[in-house]
Amino acid sequence: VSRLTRLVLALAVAMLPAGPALAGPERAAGVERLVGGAVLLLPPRIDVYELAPGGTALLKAEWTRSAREHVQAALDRVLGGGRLTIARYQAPSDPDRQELHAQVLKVHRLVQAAIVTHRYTRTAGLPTKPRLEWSLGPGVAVLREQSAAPGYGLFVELAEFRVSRHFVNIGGVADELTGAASIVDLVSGDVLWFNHERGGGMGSAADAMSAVQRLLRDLPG
Amino acid sequence: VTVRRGGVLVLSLLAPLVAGCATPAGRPDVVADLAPTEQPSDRTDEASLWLHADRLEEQLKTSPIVVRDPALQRYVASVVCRIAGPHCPRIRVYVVRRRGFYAAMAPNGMMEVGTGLLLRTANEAQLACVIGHEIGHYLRRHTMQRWADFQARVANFRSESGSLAAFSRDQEREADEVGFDLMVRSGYDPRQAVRAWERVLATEPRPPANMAPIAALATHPPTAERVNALREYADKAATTDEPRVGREDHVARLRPVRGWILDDEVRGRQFASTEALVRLLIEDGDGLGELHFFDGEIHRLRSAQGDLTRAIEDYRRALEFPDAPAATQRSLGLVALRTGDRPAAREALARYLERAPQAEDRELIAAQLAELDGP
Repeated sequence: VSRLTRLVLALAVAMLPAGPALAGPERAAGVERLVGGAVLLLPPRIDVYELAPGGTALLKAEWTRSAREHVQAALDRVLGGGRLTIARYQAPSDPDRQELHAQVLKVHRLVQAAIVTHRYTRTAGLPTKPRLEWSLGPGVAVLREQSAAPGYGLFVELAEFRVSRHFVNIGGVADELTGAASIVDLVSGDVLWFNHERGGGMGSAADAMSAVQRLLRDLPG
Repeated sequence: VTVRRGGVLVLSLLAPLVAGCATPAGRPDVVADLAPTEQPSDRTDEASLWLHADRLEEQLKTSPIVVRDPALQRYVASVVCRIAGPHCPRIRVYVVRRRGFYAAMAPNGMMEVGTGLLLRTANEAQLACVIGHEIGHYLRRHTMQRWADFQARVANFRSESGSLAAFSRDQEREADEVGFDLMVRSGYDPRQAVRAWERVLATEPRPPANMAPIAALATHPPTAERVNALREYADKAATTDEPRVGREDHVARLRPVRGWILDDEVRGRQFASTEALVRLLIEDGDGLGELHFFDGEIHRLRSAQGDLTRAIEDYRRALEFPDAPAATQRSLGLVALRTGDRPAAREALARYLERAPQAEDRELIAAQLAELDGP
Protein backbone atom coordinates (compact mmCIF):
# COMPACT_ATOMS: atom_id res chain seq x y z
CA VAL A 1 0.00 0.00 0.00
CA SER A 2 1.50 3.31 -1.01
CA ARG A 3 1.93 6.14 1.42
CA LEU A 4 -0.71 8.19 -0.39
CA THR A 5 -3.29 5.41 -0.23
CA ARG A 6 -2.60 5.03 3.46
CA LEU A 7 -3.06 8.75 4.01
CA VAL A 8 -6.35 8.75 2.07
CA LEU A 9 -7.55 5.74 4.06
CA ALA A 10 -6.61 7.37 7.33
CA LEU A 11 -8.49 10.53 6.39
CA ALA A 12 -11.50 8.52 5.28
CA VAL A 13 -11.58 6.67 8.60
CA ALA A 14 -11.25 9.94 10.50
CA MET A 15 -14.21 11.38 8.62
CA LEU A 16 -16.49 8.38 9.11
CA PRO A 17 -19.61 9.13 11.11
CA ALA A 18 -18.19 8.88 14.59
CA GLY A 19 -19.35 6.10 16.87
CA PRO A 20 -20.90 6.76 20.23
CA ALA A 21 -18.86 9.31 22.11
CA LEU A 22 -20.23 9.61 25.56
CA ALA A 23 -19.87 12.23 28.16
CA GLY A 24 -20.85 11.19 31.63
CA PRO A 25 -22.13 8.03 33.26
CA GLU A 26 -23.77 5.13 31.47
CA ARG A 27 -25.65 2.01 32.57
CA ALA A 28 -25.77 -1.41 31.00
CA ALA A 29 -29.12 -2.48 29.54
CA GLY A 30 -31.81 -3.06 32.15
CA VAL A 31 -29.84 -1.84 35.16
CA GLU A 32 -32.07 0.26 37.40
CA ARG A 33 -31.43 -0.78 40.97
CA LEU A 34 -28.73 -2.75 42.72
CA VAL A 35 -30.71 -5.35 44.63
CA GLY A 36 -28.12 -8.10 44.97
CA GLY A 37 -26.40 -7.00 48.18
CA ALA A 38 -23.74 -4.62 49.44
CA VAL A 39 -21.31 -2.71 47.24
CA LEU A 40 -17.67 -3.49 47.92
CA LEU A 41 -15.49 -0.39 47.55
CA LEU A 42 -12.19 -1.63 46.12
CA PRO A 43 -9.05 0.32 47.16
CA PRO A 44 -9.20 3.44 44.97
CA ARG A 45 -6.19 4.06 42.78
CA ILE A 46 -5.14 7.67 43.18
CA ASP A 47 -2.08 9.09 41.39
CA VAL A 48 -0.71 12.59 41.10
CA TYR A 49 2.06 13.10 38.58
CA GLU A 50 4.25 16.06 37.95
CA LEU A 51 4.92 16.73 34.30
CA ALA A 52 8.54 17.68 34.55
CA PRO A 53 10.88 19.25 32.03
CA GLY A 54 12.25 16.79 29.53
CA GLY A 55 8.87 15.15 29.06
CA THR A 56 9.01 13.00 32.17
CA ALA A 57 6.05 12.34 34.44
CA LEU A 58 7.05 11.73 38.05
CA LEU A 59 4.54 10.12 40.41
CA LYS A 60 4.78 12.60 43.31
CA ALA A 61 4.79 11.02 46.75
CA GLU A 62 3.61 14.03 48.75
CA TRP A 63 0.84 15.07 46.34
CA THR A 64 -0.33 11.51 45.89
CA ARG A 65 -0.57 10.92 49.63
CA SER A 66 -2.56 14.07 50.25
CA ALA A 67 -4.83 13.43 47.23
CA ARG A 68 -5.47 9.93 48.58
CA GLU A 69 -6.57 11.36 51.93
CA HIS A 70 -8.84 13.94 50.27
CA VAL A 71 -10.43 11.38 47.97
CA GLN A 72 -10.93 8.85 50.74
CA ALA A 73 -12.70 11.46 52.86
CA ALA A 74 -14.83 12.51 49.88
CA LEU A 75 -15.76 8.90 49.10
CA ASP A 76 -16.79 8.36 52.73
CA ARG A 77 -19.09 11.37 52.56
CA VAL A 78 -20.52 10.77 49.08
CA LEU A 79 -21.16 7.08 49.63
CA GLY A 80 -21.93 7.25 53.35
CA GLY A 81 -25.24 9.06 53.13
CA GLY A 82 -26.47 7.29 50.01
CA ARG A 83 -28.88 4.50 49.32
CA LEU A 84 -26.06 1.99 48.83
CA THR A 85 -24.74 -0.31 51.51
CA ILE A 86 -20.98 0.06 51.21
CA ALA A 87 -18.64 -2.72 52.33
CA ARG A 88 -14.98 -1.98 53.03
CA TYR A 89 -12.38 -4.00 51.21
CA GLN A 90 -10.09 -6.12 53.33
CA ALA A 91 -7.11 -7.78 51.69
CA PRO A 92 -7.06 -11.54 52.39
CA SER A 93 -4.19 -12.79 54.53
CA ASP A 94 -3.53 -15.85 52.36
CA PRO A 95 -0.99 -14.96 49.64
CA ASP A 96 -2.74 -17.14 47.02
CA ARG A 97 -6.04 -15.32 47.61
CA GLN A 98 -4.21 -11.99 47.51
CA GLU A 99 -2.84 -12.95 44.13
CA LEU A 100 -6.32 -13.81 42.82
CA HIS A 101 -7.65 -10.47 44.02
CA ALA A 102 -4.76 -8.67 42.37
CA GLN A 103 -5.53 -10.42 39.09
CA VAL A 104 -9.13 -9.17 39.24
CA LEU A 105 -7.85 -5.63 39.74
CA LYS A 106 -5.52 -6.08 36.75
CA VAL A 107 -8.32 -7.36 34.52
CA HIS A 108 -10.50 -4.50 35.66
CA ARG A 109 -7.86 -1.95 34.66
CA LEU A 110 -7.71 -3.44 31.16
CA VAL A 111 -11.48 -3.50 30.75
CA GLN A 112 -11.72 0.03 32.09
CA ALA A 113 -9.13 1.24 29.56
CA ALA A 114 -11.05 -0.50 26.77
CA ILE A 115 -14.33 1.14 27.81
CA VAL A 116 -12.70 4.57 27.96
CA THR A 117 -11.25 4.02 24.49
CA HIS A 118 -14.32 2.62 22.81
CA ARG A 119 -17.11 4.56 24.49
CA TYR A 120 -15.55 7.88 25.33
CA THR A 121 -13.39 8.48 22.25
CA ARG A 122 -15.20 9.78 19.18
CA THR A 123 -13.17 7.95 16.57
CA ALA A 124 -12.95 4.60 18.33
CA GLY A 125 -16.59 3.66 18.85
CA LEU A 126 -17.52 0.05 18.14
CA PRO A 127 -20.46 -0.10 15.69
CA THR A 128 -21.65 -3.46 17.05
CA LYS A 129 -21.68 -2.29 20.68
CA PRO A 130 -24.32 0.42 20.86
CA ARG A 131 -24.61 0.06 24.64
CA LEU A 132 -22.37 -0.44 27.65
CA GLU A 133 -21.74 -4.17 27.30
CA TRP A 134 -18.54 -5.30 28.98
CA SER A 135 -17.63 -8.00 31.44
CA LEU A 136 -14.69 -9.04 33.59
CA GLY A 137 -15.97 -12.62 33.63
CA PRO A 138 -17.16 -14.77 36.55
CA GLY A 139 -13.62 -14.91 38.00
CA VAL A 140 -14.52 -11.72 39.91
CA ALA A 141 -16.48 -13.91 42.33
CA VAL A 142 -13.25 -14.33 44.36
CA LEU A 143 -14.03 -10.87 45.75
CA ARG A 144 -17.26 -12.17 47.28
CA GLU A 145 -15.41 -14.10 49.98
CA GLN A 146 -15.34 -10.88 52.04
CA SER A 147 -17.28 -11.10 55.28
CA ALA A 148 -20.26 -9.17 53.92
CA ALA A 149 -20.47 -11.35 50.74
CA PRO A 150 -20.99 -8.21 48.65
CA GLY A 151 -22.98 -8.37 45.42
CA TYR A 152 -21.21 -5.57 43.57
CA GLY A 153 -17.78 -4.01 43.32
CA LEU A 154 -17.12 -0.28 42.98
CA PHE A 155 -13.80 0.59 41.35
CA VAL A 156 -12.52 4.17 41.45
CA GLU A 157 -9.45 5.55 39.72
CA LEU A 158 -8.27 9.16 39.55
CA ALA A 159 -5.04 10.43 38.02
CA GLU A 160 -3.97 14.03 38.00
CA PHE A 161 -1.18 15.60 36.01
CA ARG A 162 0.25 18.86 37.25
CA VAL A 163 2.61 20.82 35.07
CA SER A 164 5.89 21.61 36.78
CA ARG A 165 6.59 25.29 37.18
CA HIS A 166 9.93 24.59 35.49
CA PHE A 167 8.10 23.37 32.39
CA VAL A 168 8.77 25.43 29.28
CA ASN A 169 5.17 25.42 28.15
CA ILE A 170 4.96 25.66 24.40
CA GLY A 171 2.17 23.26 23.52
CA GLY A 172 -0.38 24.66 25.95
CA VAL A 173 -0.08 21.69 28.28
CA ALA A 174 -2.29 22.28 31.31
CA ASP A 175 -3.06 20.54 34.60
CA GLU A 176 -5.55 17.77 34.09
CA LEU A 177 -7.51 15.21 36.05
CA THR A 178 -8.89 12.06 34.48
CA GLY A 179 -11.07 9.64 36.38
CA ALA A 180 -12.99 6.45 35.84
CA ALA A 181 -15.39 4.53 38.05
CA SER A 182 -17.32 1.35 37.50
CA ILE A 183 -19.81 -0.89 39.25
CA VAL A 184 -19.29 -4.56 38.52
CA ASP A 185 -21.63 -7.46 39.28
CA LEU A 186 -19.49 -9.74 41.46
CA VAL A 187 -21.24 -12.90 40.25
CA SER A 188 -21.24 -12.46 36.47
CA GLY A 189 -18.43 -9.93 36.22
CA ASP A 190 -20.60 -7.67 34.03
CA VAL A 191 -19.94 -3.94 34.15
CA LEU A 192 -23.31 -2.50 35.17
CA TRP A 193 -22.42 1.17 35.40
CA PHE A 194 -19.48 3.21 34.19
CA ASN A 195 -18.29 6.77 34.18
CA HIS A 196 -15.28 8.58 32.81
CA GLU A 197 -14.60 12.24 33.53
CA ARG A 198 -11.95 14.80 32.72
CA GLY A 199 -11.11 18.07 34.40
CA GLY A 200 -10.86 19.32 37.95
CA GLY A 201 -8.21 18.44 40.49
CA MET A 202 -7.43 16.82 43.83
CA GLY A 203 -5.26 19.56 45.27
CA SER A 204 -7.67 20.47 48.07
CA ALA A 205 -10.41 18.70 50.01
CA ALA A 206 -13.05 20.78 48.18
CA ASP A 207 -11.62 20.02 44.71
CA ALA A 208 -11.42 16.31 45.52
CA MET A 209 -14.99 16.41 46.79
CA SER A 210 -16.33 17.89 43.58
CA ALA A 211 -14.25 15.48 41.46
CA VAL A 212 -15.67 12.50 43.38
CA GLN A 213 -19.23 13.86 43.24
CA ARG A 214 -18.96 14.34 39.49
CA LEU A 215 -17.44 10.90 38.93
CA LEU A 216 -20.04 9.09 41.04
CA ARG A 217 -23.13 11.02 39.95
CA ASP A 218 -26.09 9.00 38.79
CA LEU A 219 -25.00 5.77 40.50
CA PRO A 220 -27.78 3.18 40.31
CA GLY A 221 -29.61 3.06 43.65
CA VAL B 1 6.66 3.57 30.63
CA THR B 2 4.34 5.81 28.75
CA VAL B 3 1.32 7.59 30.07
CA ARG B 4 -1.43 8.59 27.72
CA ARG B 5 -2.70 11.98 28.55
CA GLY B 6 -5.25 13.78 26.42
CA GLY B 7 -3.68 12.58 23.20
CA VAL B 8 -0.20 13.67 24.24
CA LEU B 9 2.28 10.91 24.86
CA VAL B 10 4.30 11.70 27.90
CA LEU B 11 7.48 9.74 28.30
CA SER B 12 8.11 8.85 31.88
CA LEU B 13 11.33 7.04 31.21
CA LEU B 14 14.02 7.44 33.77
CA ALA B 15 16.55 6.98 30.99
CA PRO B 16 15.64 9.93 28.79
CA LEU B 17 15.82 9.83 25.05
CA VAL B 18 16.92 13.28 24.11
CA ALA B 19 19.55 13.68 21.42
CA GLY B 20 22.02 16.47 20.89
CA CYS B 21 25.68 17.37 21.04
CA ALA B 22 27.87 16.58 23.96
CA THR B 23 29.01 18.82 26.75
CA PRO B 24 29.61 16.72 29.83
CA ALA B 25 27.65 17.98 32.79
CA GLY B 26 30.19 16.56 35.20
CA ARG B 27 29.76 14.44 38.31
CA PRO B 28 27.03 15.32 40.74
CA ASP B 29 27.79 16.34 44.28
CA VAL B 30 28.87 13.52 46.50
CA VAL B 31 25.80 11.72 47.80
CA ALA B 32 25.71 9.83 51.09
CA ASP B 33 25.00 6.10 50.96
CA LEU B 34 21.50 4.97 51.83
CA ALA B 35 21.22 3.99 55.51
CA PRO B 36 19.64 0.62 56.42
CA THR B 37 16.37 2.04 57.80
CA GLU B 38 16.32 5.34 55.94
CA GLN B 39 12.98 6.48 54.54
CA PRO B 40 13.09 9.50 52.24
CA SER B 41 10.77 12.35 53.21
CA ASP B 42 7.55 12.56 51.20
CA ARG B 43 8.56 15.97 49.95
CA THR B 44 11.59 14.70 48.05
CA ASP B 45 11.87 13.45 44.50
CA GLU B 46 13.52 10.39 45.99
CA ALA B 47 10.26 9.45 47.75
CA SER B 48 8.48 9.89 44.43
CA LEU B 49 10.93 7.57 42.69
CA TRP B 50 10.35 5.02 45.46
CA LEU B 51 6.59 5.32 45.03
CA HIS B 52 6.99 4.81 41.28
CA ALA B 53 9.03 1.70 42.01
CA ASP B 54 6.38 0.53 44.51
CA ARG B 55 3.86 0.61 41.66
CA LEU B 56 6.17 -1.41 39.43
CA GLU B 57 6.63 -3.87 42.26
CA GLU B 58 2.86 -4.30 42.68
CA GLN B 59 2.74 -5.24 39.01
CA LEU B 60 5.74 -7.53 39.25
CA LYS B 61 4.44 -9.38 42.32
CA THR B 62 1.46 -10.74 40.44
CA SER B 63 3.21 -11.13 37.11
CA PRO B 64 3.66 -14.57 35.54
CA ILE B 65 7.36 -13.82 34.95
CA VAL B 66 8.06 -14.28 38.67
CA VAL B 67 9.31 -17.81 39.26
CA ARG B 68 7.27 -19.34 42.05
CA ASP B 69 9.80 -21.85 43.32
CA PRO B 70 10.24 -21.53 47.11
CA ALA B 71 13.55 -23.45 47.24
CA LEU B 72 15.17 -21.35 44.52
CA GLN B 73 13.74 -18.17 46.03
CA ARG B 74 15.17 -19.05 49.47
CA TYR B 75 18.58 -19.73 47.96
CA VAL B 76 18.80 -16.43 46.07
CA ALA B 77 17.43 -14.50 49.06
CA SER B 78 20.05 -16.08 51.32
CA VAL B 79 22.85 -14.86 49.04
CA VAL B 80 21.26 -11.38 48.98
CA CYS B 81 21.17 -11.32 52.78
CA ARG B 82 24.74 -12.44 53.11
CA ILE B 83 25.87 -9.62 50.82
CA ALA B 84 23.46 -6.91 51.99
CA GLY B 85 24.11 -7.33 55.72
CA PRO B 86 22.10 -4.71 57.64
CA HIS B 87 20.19 -3.79 54.46
CA CYS B 88 18.85 -7.32 54.08
CA PRO B 89 15.40 -6.74 55.61
CA ARG B 90 14.74 -3.88 53.18
CA ILE B 91 15.65 -5.75 49.99
CA ARG B 92 12.96 -7.83 48.28
CA VAL B 93 14.36 -10.14 45.65
CA TYR B 94 12.28 -11.67 42.86
CA VAL B 95 13.56 -14.46 40.63
CA VAL B 96 12.20 -13.58 37.21
CA ARG B 97 11.98 -15.62 34.04
CA ARG B 98 14.30 -13.67 31.76
CA ARG B 99 16.77 -14.84 29.14
CA GLY B 100 20.32 -13.59 29.04
CA PHE B 101 22.35 -11.89 31.71
CA TYR B 102 19.74 -9.87 33.59
CA ALA B 103 19.47 -8.43 37.06
CA ALA B 104 17.97 -5.12 38.16
CA MET B 105 17.57 -3.02 41.25
CA ALA B 106 14.94 -0.39 42.00
CA PRO B 107 15.51 2.48 44.45
CA ASN B 108 12.83 1.16 46.85
CA GLY B 109 14.70 -2.11 47.44
CA MET B 110 13.02 -4.28 44.80
CA MET B 111 15.60 -6.52 43.17
CA GLU B 112 15.13 -8.76 40.15
CA VAL B 113 17.42 -11.70 39.40
CA GLY B 114 16.89 -13.30 36.00
CA THR B 115 16.86 -17.05 35.40
CA GLY B 116 19.35 -16.54 32.53
CA LEU B 117 21.74 -14.99 35.02
CA LEU B 118 21.42 -17.95 37.39
CA LEU B 119 22.24 -20.23 34.48
CA ARG B 120 25.37 -18.28 33.57
CA THR B 121 26.91 -18.17 37.06
CA ALA B 122 28.97 -21.22 37.96
CA ASN B 123 28.85 -20.84 41.72
CA GLU B 124 27.46 -18.86 44.63
CA ALA B 125 30.38 -16.40 44.65
CA GLN B 126 29.70 -15.44 41.03
CA LEU B 127 26.03 -14.90 41.81
CA ALA B 128 27.10 -12.86 44.84
CA CYS B 129 29.25 -10.70 42.57
CA VAL B 130 26.25 -9.69 40.44
CA ILE B 131 23.98 -9.25 43.44
CA GLY B 132 26.68 -7.07 45.04
CA HIS B 133 26.71 -4.91 41.91
CA GLU B 134 22.93 -4.42 42.10
CA ILE B 135 23.11 -3.58 45.80
CA GLY B 136 25.83 -1.09 44.86
CA HIS B 137 23.27 0.76 42.70
CA TYR B 138 20.85 0.73 45.62
CA LEU B 139 23.28 1.93 48.30
CA ARG B 140 24.67 4.67 46.09
CA ARG B 141 21.12 5.86 45.23
CA HIS B 142 21.87 5.67 41.52
CA THR B 143 18.29 6.10 40.29
CA MET B 144 17.98 9.27 42.34
CA GLN B 145 21.31 10.58 41.11
CA ARG B 146 20.44 9.86 37.51
CA TRP B 147 17.10 11.61 37.89
CA ALA B 148 18.73 14.67 39.47
CA ASP B 149 21.41 14.70 36.78
CA PHE B 150 18.77 14.58 34.05
CA GLN B 151 16.71 17.36 35.60
CA ALA B 152 19.82 19.53 35.95
CA ARG B 153 20.70 18.98 32.30
CA VAL B 154 17.21 19.83 31.09
CA ALA B 155 17.18 23.00 33.16
CA ASN B 156 20.39 24.01 31.41
CA PHE B 157 19.26 22.78 27.98
CA ARG B 158 22.01 20.17 28.04
CA SER B 159 20.25 16.83 27.74
CA GLU B 160 22.50 15.10 25.29
CA SER B 161 22.29 11.34 25.11
CA GLY B 162 26.08 10.94 24.81
CA SER B 163 26.93 12.35 28.20
CA LEU B 164 23.81 10.85 29.79
CA ALA B 165 25.20 7.50 28.72
CA ALA B 166 28.60 8.45 30.11
CA PHE B 167 26.92 9.21 33.45
CA SER B 168 25.28 5.78 33.33
CA ARG B 169 28.61 4.08 32.55
CA ASP B 170 30.22 5.84 35.52
CA GLN B 171 27.43 4.50 37.75
CA GLU B 172 28.01 0.98 36.42
CA ARG B 173 31.72 1.23 37.22
CA GLU B 174 30.89 2.51 40.69
CA ALA B 175 28.42 -0.35 41.25
CA ASP B 176 31.07 -2.85 40.11
CA GLU B 177 33.46 -1.42 42.69
CA VAL B 178 30.94 -1.30 45.56
CA GLY B 179 29.66 -4.77 44.64
CA PHE B 180 33.16 -6.18 44.63
CA ASP B 181 33.87 -4.77 48.10
CA LEU B 182 30.61 -6.17 49.47
CA MET B 183 31.32 -9.56 47.98
CA VAL B 184 34.83 -9.78 49.41
CA ARG B 185 33.75 -8.46 52.81
CA SER B 186 31.09 -11.17 52.90
CA GLY B 187 33.82 -13.77 52.58
CA TYR B 188 33.45 -14.71 48.91
CA ASP B 189 36.39 -15.54 46.67
CA PRO B 190 37.35 -12.30 44.83
CA ARG B 191 38.66 -14.20 41.81
CA GLN B 192 35.11 -15.37 41.11
CA ALA B 193 34.15 -11.78 40.20
CA VAL B 194 36.61 -11.95 37.33
CA ARG B 195 35.35 -15.43 36.35
CA ALA B 196 31.74 -14.26 36.39
CA TRP B 197 32.43 -11.47 33.93
CA GLU B 198 34.65 -13.67 31.78
CA ARG B 199 31.67 -15.98 31.41
CA VAL B 200 29.49 -13.05 30.43
CA LEU B 201 32.08 -12.03 27.84
CA ALA B 202 32.18 -15.56 26.44
CA THR B 203 28.41 -15.83 26.09
CA GLU B 204 27.45 -12.29 25.06
CA PRO B 205 25.44 -12.07 21.86
CA ARG B 206 27.67 -10.54 19.19
CA PRO B 207 25.95 -7.94 17.03
CA PRO B 208 26.61 -8.25 13.29
CA ALA B 209 29.60 -6.22 12.06
CA ASN B 210 27.41 -3.58 10.40
CA MET B 211 25.43 -3.09 13.61
CA ALA B 212 28.30 -2.49 16.00
CA PRO B 213 27.16 -0.57 19.09
CA ILE B 214 28.12 3.09 19.36
CA ALA B 215 30.49 3.30 22.30
CA ALA B 216 29.45 6.85 23.19
CA LEU B 217 25.81 5.80 23.56
CA ALA B 218 26.38 2.60 25.55
CA THR B 219 24.79 2.64 29.01
CA HIS B 220 27.24 0.04 30.32
CA PRO B 221 31.04 -0.08 29.95
CA PRO B 222 32.37 -2.76 27.58
CA THR B 223 32.50 -6.12 29.34
CA ALA B 224 36.21 -6.57 28.56
CA GLU B 225 36.95 -3.32 30.39
CA ARG B 226 34.95 -4.50 33.39
CA VAL B 227 36.81 -7.81 33.47
CA ASN B 228 40.12 -5.94 33.52
CA ALA B 229 39.03 -3.56 36.28
CA LEU B 230 37.77 -6.45 38.42
CA ARG B 231 41.00 -8.36 37.83
CA GLU B 232 42.89 -5.38 39.24
CA TYR B 233 40.62 -5.28 42.29
CA ALA B 234 40.96 -9.03 42.76
CA ASP B 235 44.76 -8.86 42.61
CA LYS B 236 44.78 -6.23 45.35
CA ALA B 237 42.08 -7.75 47.50
CA ALA B 238 43.10 -9.25 50.82
CA THR B 239 41.14 -12.43 51.29
CA THR B 240 40.36 -14.65 54.20
CA ASP B 241 42.14 -17.98 54.38
CA GLU B 242 39.35 -19.94 52.81
CA PRO B 243 37.19 -17.67 50.71
CA ARG B 244 33.76 -19.02 49.87
CA VAL B 245 33.05 -20.28 46.36
CA GLY B 246 29.92 -22.35 47.00
CA ARG B 247 29.92 -24.48 43.90
CA GLU B 248 28.17 -27.69 45.09
CA ASP B 249 25.32 -25.80 46.68
CA HIS B 250 24.78 -23.60 43.66
CA VAL B 251 24.75 -26.52 41.25
CA ALA B 252 22.41 -28.53 43.47
CA ARG B 253 19.91 -25.65 43.78
CA LEU B 254 19.87 -25.00 40.06
CA ARG B 255 19.79 -28.60 38.89
CA PRO B 256 15.99 -29.08 39.25
CA VAL B 257 15.19 -25.94 37.21
CA ARG B 258 18.07 -25.87 34.74
CA GLY B 259 16.19 -27.78 32.05
CA TRP B 260 13.38 -25.30 31.57
CA ILE B 261 15.72 -22.33 31.90
CA LEU B 262 17.88 -23.78 29.12
CA ASP B 263 14.74 -24.40 27.10
CA ASP B 264 13.83 -20.69 27.47
CA GLU B 265 17.31 -19.71 26.28
CA VAL B 266 17.22 -22.00 23.25
CA ARG B 267 13.81 -20.65 22.24
CA GLY B 268 15.22 -17.12 22.31
CA ARG B 269 16.97 -18.14 19.05
CA GLN B 270 20.21 -16.37 19.98
CA PHE B 271 21.89 -19.56 18.81
CA ALA B 272 25.53 -18.43 18.80
CA SER B 273 25.49 -17.13 22.35
CA THR B 274 23.35 -20.01 23.67
CA GLU B 275 25.76 -22.46 22.04
CA ALA B 276 28.67 -20.72 23.77
CA LEU B 277 26.77 -20.95 27.05
CA VAL B 278 26.05 -24.67 26.66
CA ARG B 279 29.75 -25.24 25.85
CA LEU B 280 30.70 -23.47 29.08
CA LEU B 281 28.27 -25.60 31.04
CA ILE B 282 29.60 -28.76 29.40
CA GLU B 283 33.10 -27.73 30.51
CA ASP B 284 31.71 -27.31 34.05
CA GLY B 285 30.65 -30.95 33.66
CA ASP B 286 27.35 -31.21 35.57
CA GLY B 287 24.40 -33.07 34.07
CA LEU B 288 25.95 -33.78 30.67
CA GLY B 289 23.01 -35.72 29.25
CA GLU B 290 20.78 -32.69 29.55
CA LEU B 291 23.46 -30.36 28.19
CA HIS B 292 24.25 -32.44 25.09
CA PHE B 293 20.52 -32.66 24.46
CA PHE B 294 20.22 -28.86 24.43
CA ASP B 295 23.33 -28.58 22.26
CA GLY B 296 21.43 -30.82 19.84
CA GLU B 297 18.31 -28.65 20.15
CA ILE B 298 20.31 -25.56 19.18
CA HIS B 299 21.58 -27.31 16.05
CA ARG B 300 18.20 -28.83 15.20
CA LEU B 301 16.38 -25.50 15.50
CA ARG B 302 19.05 -23.49 13.68
CA SER B 303 19.30 -26.06 10.85
CA ALA B 304 22.20 -24.31 9.14
CA GLN B 305 24.64 -26.24 6.94
CA GLY B 306 25.78 -29.38 8.76
CA ASP B 307 23.62 -28.66 11.82
CA LEU B 308 21.33 -31.69 11.47
CA THR B 309 24.30 -34.06 11.38
CA ARG B 310 25.74 -32.35 14.44
CA ALA B 311 22.37 -32.54 16.18
CA ILE B 312 22.27 -36.32 15.70
CA GLU B 313 25.77 -36.58 17.17
CA ASP B 314 24.73 -34.40 20.13
CA TYR B 315 21.65 -36.52 20.86
CA ARG B 316 23.64 -39.75 20.62
CA ARG B 317 26.18 -38.35 23.04
CA ALA B 318 23.40 -37.20 25.37
CA LEU B 319 21.97 -40.74 25.42
CA GLU B 320 25.26 -42.04 26.82
CA PHE B 321 24.36 -40.30 30.09
CA PRO B 322 21.59 -41.38 32.43
CA ASP B 323 20.15 -37.85 32.71
CA ALA B 324 19.34 -37.44 29.02
CA PRO B 325 15.73 -36.18 28.89
CA ALA B 326 13.09 -38.38 27.26
CA ALA B 327 12.71 -35.66 24.63
CA THR B 328 16.18 -36.62 23.32
CA GLN B 329 14.63 -39.62 21.57
CA ARG B 330 11.84 -37.49 20.14
CA SER B 331 14.25 -34.90 18.76
CA LEU B 332 16.47 -37.66 17.39
CA GLY B 333 13.42 -39.10 15.64
CA LEU B 334 12.37 -35.74 14.24
CA VAL B 335 15.84 -35.05 12.83
CA ALA B 336 15.95 -38.55 11.33
CA LEU B 337 12.62 -37.85 9.64
CA ARG B 338 14.03 -34.70 8.12
CA THR B 339 17.13 -36.46 6.83
CA GLY B 340 14.95 -39.26 5.37
CA ASP B 341 16.24 -42.02 7.66
CA ARG B 342 12.88 -43.73 8.29
CA PRO B 343 14.14 -46.76 10.28
CA ALA B 344 16.08 -44.51 12.67
CA ALA B 345 13.07 -42.20 13.04
CA ARG B 346 10.77 -45.14 13.81
CA GLU B 347 13.14 -46.53 16.43
CA ALA B 348 13.72 -43.20 18.19
CA LEU B 349 10.07 -42.16 18.27
CA ALA B 350 9.03 -45.58 19.60
CA ARG B 351 11.64 -45.27 22.35
CA TYR B 352 10.33 -41.83 23.19
CA LEU B 353 6.83 -43.21 23.74
CA GLU B 354 8.27 -46.04 25.83
CA ARG B 355 10.12 -43.59 28.06
CA ALA B 356 7.36 -40.99 28.24
CA PRO B 357 4.05 -42.83 27.83
CA GLN B 358 2.15 -39.89 29.39
CA ALA B 359 3.78 -37.20 27.23
CA GLU B 360 1.46 -34.41 26.10
CA ASP B 361 2.29 -35.02 22.46
CA ARG B 362 1.96 -38.82 22.63
CA GLU B 363 -0.95 -38.95 20.18
CA LEU B 364 0.85 -36.80 17.67
CA ILE B 365 3.94 -38.99 17.87
CA ALA B 366 1.84 -42.17 17.72
CA ALA B 367 0.19 -40.88 14.54
CA GLN B 368 3.61 -40.13 13.11
CA LEU B 369 4.71 -43.67 13.95
CA ALA B 370 1.61 -45.19 12.34
CA GLU B 371 2.40 -43.24 9.19
CA LEU B 372 5.97 -44.57 9.24
CA ASP B 373 4.71 -48.13 9.64
CA GLY B 374 2.21 -47.68 6.82
CA PRO B 375 2.74 -48.34 3.13
